[in-house]
Amino acid sequence: MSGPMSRPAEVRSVSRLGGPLLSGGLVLALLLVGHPRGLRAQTEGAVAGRVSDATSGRSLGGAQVLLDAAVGAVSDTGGLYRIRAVRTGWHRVAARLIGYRGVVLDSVFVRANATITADFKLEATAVELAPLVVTAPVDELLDPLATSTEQKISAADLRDLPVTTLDEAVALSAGAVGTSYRGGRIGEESFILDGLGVKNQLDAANGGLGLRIPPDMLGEASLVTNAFSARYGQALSGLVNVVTVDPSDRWRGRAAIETDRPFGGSLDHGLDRLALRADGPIAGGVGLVAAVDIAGRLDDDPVNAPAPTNPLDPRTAEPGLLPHNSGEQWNGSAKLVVPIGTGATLRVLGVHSEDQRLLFDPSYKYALDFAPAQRLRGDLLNGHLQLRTAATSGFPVVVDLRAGRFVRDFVRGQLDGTVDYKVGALTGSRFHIVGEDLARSLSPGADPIPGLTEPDLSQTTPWGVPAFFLDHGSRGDLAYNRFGETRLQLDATYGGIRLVDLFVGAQYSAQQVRTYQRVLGFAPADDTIPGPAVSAFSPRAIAGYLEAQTRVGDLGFTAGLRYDQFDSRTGDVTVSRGASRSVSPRIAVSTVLHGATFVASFGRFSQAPDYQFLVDAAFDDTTRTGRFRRGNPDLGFEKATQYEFSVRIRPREAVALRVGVYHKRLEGLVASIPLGLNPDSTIFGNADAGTVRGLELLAERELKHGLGFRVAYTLQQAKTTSTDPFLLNRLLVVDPSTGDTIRPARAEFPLDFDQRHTLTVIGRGKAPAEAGPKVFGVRPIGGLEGSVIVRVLSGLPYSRVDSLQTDSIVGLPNAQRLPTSATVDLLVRRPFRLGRADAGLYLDVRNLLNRRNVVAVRRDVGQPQPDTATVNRLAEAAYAAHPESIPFESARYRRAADLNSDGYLAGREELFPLYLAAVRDFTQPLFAYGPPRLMRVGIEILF
Amino acid sequence: MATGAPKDLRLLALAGGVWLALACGHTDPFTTSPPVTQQPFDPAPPIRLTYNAGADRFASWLPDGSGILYSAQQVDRPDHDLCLAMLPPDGGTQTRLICDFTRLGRDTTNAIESAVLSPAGQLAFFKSRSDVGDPRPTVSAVAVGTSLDPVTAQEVQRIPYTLPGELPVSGISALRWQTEDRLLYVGGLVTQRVPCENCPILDTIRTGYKITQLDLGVPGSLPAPVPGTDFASGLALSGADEILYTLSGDSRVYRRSLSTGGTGIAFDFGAAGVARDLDVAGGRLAAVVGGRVHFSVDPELGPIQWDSGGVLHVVDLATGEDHTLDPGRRLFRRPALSPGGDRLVAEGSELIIVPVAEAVIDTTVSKATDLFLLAVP
Repeated sequence: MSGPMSRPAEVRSVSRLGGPLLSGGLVLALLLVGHPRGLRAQTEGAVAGRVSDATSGRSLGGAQVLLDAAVGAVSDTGGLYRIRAVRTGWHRVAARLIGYRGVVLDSVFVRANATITADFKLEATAVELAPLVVTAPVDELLDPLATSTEQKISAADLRDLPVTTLDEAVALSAGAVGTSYRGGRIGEESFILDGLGVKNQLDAANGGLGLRIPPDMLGEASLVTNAFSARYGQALSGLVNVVTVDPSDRWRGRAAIETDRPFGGSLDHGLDRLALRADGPIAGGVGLVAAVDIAGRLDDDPVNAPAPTNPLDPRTAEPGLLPHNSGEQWNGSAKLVVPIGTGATLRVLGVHSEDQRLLFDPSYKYALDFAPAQRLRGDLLNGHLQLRTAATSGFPVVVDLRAGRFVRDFVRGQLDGTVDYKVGALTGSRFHIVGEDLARSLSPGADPIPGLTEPDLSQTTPWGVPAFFLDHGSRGDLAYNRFGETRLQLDATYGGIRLVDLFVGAQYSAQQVRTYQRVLGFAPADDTIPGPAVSAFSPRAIAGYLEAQTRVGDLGFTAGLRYDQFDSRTGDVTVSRGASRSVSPRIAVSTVLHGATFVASFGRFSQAPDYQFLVDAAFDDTTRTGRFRRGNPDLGFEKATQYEFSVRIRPREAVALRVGVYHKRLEGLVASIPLGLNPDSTIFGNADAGTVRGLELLAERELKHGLGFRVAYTLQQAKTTSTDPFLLNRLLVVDPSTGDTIRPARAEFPLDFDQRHTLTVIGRGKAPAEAGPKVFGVRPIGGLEGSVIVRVLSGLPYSRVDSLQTDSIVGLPNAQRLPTSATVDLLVRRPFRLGRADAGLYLDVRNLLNRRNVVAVRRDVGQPQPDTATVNRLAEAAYAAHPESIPFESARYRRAADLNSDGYLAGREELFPLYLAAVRDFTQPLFAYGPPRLMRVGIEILF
Repeated sequence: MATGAPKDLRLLALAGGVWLALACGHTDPFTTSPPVTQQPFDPAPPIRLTYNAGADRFASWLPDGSGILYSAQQVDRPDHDLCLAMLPPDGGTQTRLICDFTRLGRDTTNAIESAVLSPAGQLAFFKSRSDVGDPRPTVSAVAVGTSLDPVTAQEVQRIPYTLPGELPVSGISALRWQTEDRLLYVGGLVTQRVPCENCPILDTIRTGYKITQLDLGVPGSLPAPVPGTDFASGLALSGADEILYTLSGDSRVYRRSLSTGGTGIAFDFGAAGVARDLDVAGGRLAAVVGGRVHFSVDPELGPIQWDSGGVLHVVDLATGEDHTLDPGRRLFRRPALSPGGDRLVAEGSELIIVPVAEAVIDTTVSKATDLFLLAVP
């Protein structure tokens, strides 16, 4: 039996605690292993099957199939039925026909985008009997209509596993490298929230979405990585589909706090988190669900870097916590569900997210006030009106009309004023960035930004000497961007054709892009200092799709066609060619043979480029070469073509296996193209291509007898064929016979997220209530729940550069590999009763073994730390720049270094050791290491 | 599962909740504090406050005696700016160092001189800007700020200027606050010329012309020279209405009432030599007397007083008792008495004796003037 359906009894008991949120048996069952189905409305699934005579096997037409006591469909003459637009969650499905004893399938779990197959075999009876209640669930693992490779994450996963955010949970999926999927660049996925696409089209490659759904709002999420429905676009690597919960029919809520205060020392990173949720009916069938999630951490990007060796380094005293590195997130969401008559429902969802951070910059270690800060804000208002004809009508149509407004607002620069912490890292007020008003007004002025002062070399370091560390002013960077999108989406599902479902829809997006970037803003722009890079334009995008799905026996077919068009409308009519267009077919075939489900799929995908590449600015591109480059308003779609083949089997009742192989060709990726021999003279273009091949293995044993596990392994190879400008320029040769300049053939090298091996093991256990000895009348182990996540990841590629600071790449780009990283995360929870409420106390430990994972290295030496030669070279250069003596009264004077006690630090003998110490301090590879062991304790109450 | 949990655990839950709620505050990240001292390097008198390879000049005390302002030349910067610095009253590490760090500032030599803070906290100073390596200023002005921040200060009098019937003023010295809206200074000449044929350097000539009042309370008001103070070489306030001053080539210290114009001799150093560079505080008068000073009439510039420093004298104005402070091998200029009059900061320059030929020596003074702190008897 498939996982999600295997514990209906437990599920019912859990529902008192808040429905799926507290599912004990669902954790693994709902997680990831692909058993999904066809491609339906994003927030809903379907129930379909056949009604037949239990004795003769004859199809029974005219049988009523009820969904939660309401007639959802009537079987046709072939006994087939389908109930569409079923909200994700637990349902009771029943079939009845006069002359037959009804059958009730209890606890049928419907997932978004999935069709649950529920066949009914009715027994003829002369007398009316009570319906036969069957709790055995349907095994959707073997459903041939499940053609997409979809890995699910439920609210229970977020609660029961040592993960905090949706991103962390999705990252457990096979093929995921953080928020990069199947070798793609960050941002090549699309985010679907309650059926409406939301994407940061401006700088998804490095900017993030800006929206965080409070985990308590999550009903279900999934990662789809193969030939997903033609309904979805704007993605090359996959889509993350999130369905929020609907309000329940009685008021309930949850409150939880988390902190790491009790642990103290290096285990205390200043974490405080508060999560609240309430939902219930208001009046007249209208329901409301609302949640807030507030979190702050004094060190929001903790690193497991070694302690410094010099005792004069102030970090020696507290090496585990970085100052000016705090972050706070305020996320709130509310959803209103309004039934309109019997055939329509209006859902309005609002999400507001604020994420503001101080960013530790080693250059400002001794002048933290001038280190950068940033604020990211996201707002979403999403309306959904669903209309459907009656289940018994001859024209079965479900129409979904969605409209949404998404705004993402980002600003980064020097913090205006000082941070006033109220509780832990929480300030309760918005950061203001110096010059923010200028940036918001997109002022093209060349004058210095008021409030910024030019930095100078710090004199307050323990080393005193003028080198590396800055003070008196920030770098003068000011970046602001704002992306807004109004999206209209119409989807229709028609089920009037026997055995065929038709899906058709269209989208229209009106977008607004505003960007401002200024460097060295403390100085007026002139011939040597660039003025602000400002842009304001309003792209438009439209899309349409048609898709059909049918089932013939054990064969399932899905075929769709999608059309995308976007016009950047940058206003530069001299270079922009107008709208770009793309047609993307998607095909999937599946069948069941010998107890295994085989799925083959093909899909083409396209997404508009990040709009950041259309404007002049300093941003990273596909190969992350990181230079200032000229924008290109004429960029077209980035495209991908993917083939996938997968097999799903269930060798034992509680065990599921899936094996999938895929081949994905990426084309038209945005890259830098040289304009001449100067490597800094480049422009963006759709120049790069890449190939991703992979094998994904998933094995799951559902929670049984208190133990369950899931193993996911991915073998992947992601290579690009690049026109990397630096490589080109280095390899340009002149033919000695003809004198022609010969450009080399395109080079192939690993993509940035080419993680060859990914192994994720998730184990979960639960002790019986009577387990363990009694201590003072209490069984501490009884009822204890625990989960562990073990991850082993092979190293990502990186490029070596020469050791002479010329930024010349040694060998091919991305020819080197970071070392393998591994983590063990653990969550232990002890549920208990608190008065009339259920409650739980839990301990969450990340990187339990405190392994020091290397996530980056110096590209010149291939290790986190600089080598001795590099240290000496840097120190020599710094000393050569400032060999002058330092008098006693100077704030740079350090008495311990005054070897002859003459009141001066003078000469190499006294000054050079200080420069050496400064180099060692400055080059500490703090961010080359992943997070250390992180612990938090939390308590939650459900009411 | 919660349903199976013993009810006795509610006490544990409550205890846990209280524990969480009342747990002590978060661990603080590391903090940095610059290693500074408020003690001199060598406490032996006279206490040497600065060891700068460049020039440290124009010292003045904060009105409450909590610090010493001065101009510190930054020889580690290519522009050799004269920045505003502040020292603790007993010496030690600079507590402030304010320079023009802007890119424009790096291309020019910027000087902040004669900085003086009023009792209400207003900062007045003389500022100038020149091309790097060129001692001739392109911009000079008297500036006043509302705090100890020369960056935000406003220019109140551009230099040079010429008043009707007066000599052109191209520099100032001895800047003093008479009241919160009135400044006093010695307006004079600052010029450069080649000291000898084919010499690769320019010699800067400074001499005083007249004591001048500058009324800040009346916008646009012109500087007002004080009559009878021609070729003044020193200025000190001995009261709100009374100034003490010296004249070039003269050993006497004059007293003048600004309101009535009445004058007199406050003290005469007589044979000790030419008196200049006055300061008054705590009933004491400090002056530089004698030393390497020469008054002459230049055929081009008129009367000028060359001054490379002299001997520090402190006079008790009540008793007339004159004390000579230890000269050592140094020559001093511009003494500044602490508000209580019990300590004195002055610029000291090493007297350098250079053998030129057998039995022939030349003397000069180091340009690397440093500040010295001396106790006043």
